Amino acid sequence: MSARYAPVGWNRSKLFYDAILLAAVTLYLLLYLWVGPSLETGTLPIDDQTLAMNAWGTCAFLLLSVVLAIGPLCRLDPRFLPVLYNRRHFGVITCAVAAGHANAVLGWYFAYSHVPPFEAVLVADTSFGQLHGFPFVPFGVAAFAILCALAFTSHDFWLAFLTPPLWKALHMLIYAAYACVIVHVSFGALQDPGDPLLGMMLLASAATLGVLHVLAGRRSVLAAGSATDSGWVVAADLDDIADGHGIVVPLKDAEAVAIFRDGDGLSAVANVCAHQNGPLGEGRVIGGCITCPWHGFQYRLADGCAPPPYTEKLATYRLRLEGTKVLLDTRPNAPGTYVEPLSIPAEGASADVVQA
Amino acid sequence: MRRRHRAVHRRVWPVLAVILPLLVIAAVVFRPAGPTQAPAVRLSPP
Repeated sequence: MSARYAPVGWNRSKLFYDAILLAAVTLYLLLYLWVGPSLETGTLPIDDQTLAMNAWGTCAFLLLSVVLAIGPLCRLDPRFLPVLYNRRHFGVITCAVAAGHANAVLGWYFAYSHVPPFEAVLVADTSFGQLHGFPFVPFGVAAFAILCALAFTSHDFWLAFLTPPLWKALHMLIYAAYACVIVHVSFGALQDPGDPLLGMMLLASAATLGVLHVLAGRRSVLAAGSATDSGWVVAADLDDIADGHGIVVPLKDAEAVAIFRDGDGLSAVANVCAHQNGPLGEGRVIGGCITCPWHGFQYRLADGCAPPPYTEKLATYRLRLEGTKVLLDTRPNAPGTYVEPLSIPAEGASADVVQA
Repeated sequence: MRRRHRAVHRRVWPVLAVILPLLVIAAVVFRPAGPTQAPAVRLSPP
């Protein structure tokens, strides 16, 4: 665990998640391709190739929108967390569907080009100086290139190889890809007068994602505890922390802290897993150890040390109980420092002030 | 490190939340109006 690459194994829930997702994608494409033509109202029926382009393209756009919504939804409501755990698979499937769109485009518009299709798609439309007819293809190519790069590096090997900071920075390019997709569709398909549904879908996606991300960002700022001079903040109410689970306590100008409850004891450690920066507070207590939700790395509750023979250590924090309020000392102890778990008094017992 | 990424999130999304919907609206409002938007004219047989 300490010094080697540890792949994430397939498990039942991941297989189930992927099966549901693939079934949904297949159903969407089939419905679009089979039912779509009967709903056409134009005087000129849409050709099969354009229908295929639209089906793959709209499907990829919807998937990308959902992928981008998962993060803020989880920060706003923990019930969405199960969707977060397999988000990388979601992203790879999004890229595969986008490849279907690209394949349909290359096979229709560039099949008879005098230059190879992959070259033609890059040079066919470069008239950036005009508003009407502004080139939209390069934005689609850029978005697809980003999606491919992210899908290719989504495996845990690349997370370990690139290191988490670089990997995370690279994968934040998904925002650029989304912006490129919006430009691509706005200056492309949206310029054709016709079905208003596409414009509404695009607007709903952009507005919803914007609102969700802004709300999630504001919430984490508002929730961030401001330490007093003594360094203590009110972290949570005792009832907020379920037995065997943790909570994440965002802090202003500092890394978040994870507080766990194990039976009648409370412990606090840094929220960032020493393995690959997983969010420990979203994990569980298994076998008396904090277990990272990403890769199952474990740490002892009292000292934040991985059990032998492993050597990872987390910073620990002191806790205090005032009535039912859990107070946290925001000044971290050195990684691996032993802190006696805070004992929760039995119900009915006096619990005015208890300190670890 | 995660804090830095969260800070980037907080800076990027308020901008995207305004720009992207505006772009979509502008693309619809300013799209070229032309004969393609006129109702189809049925030609009478010669």
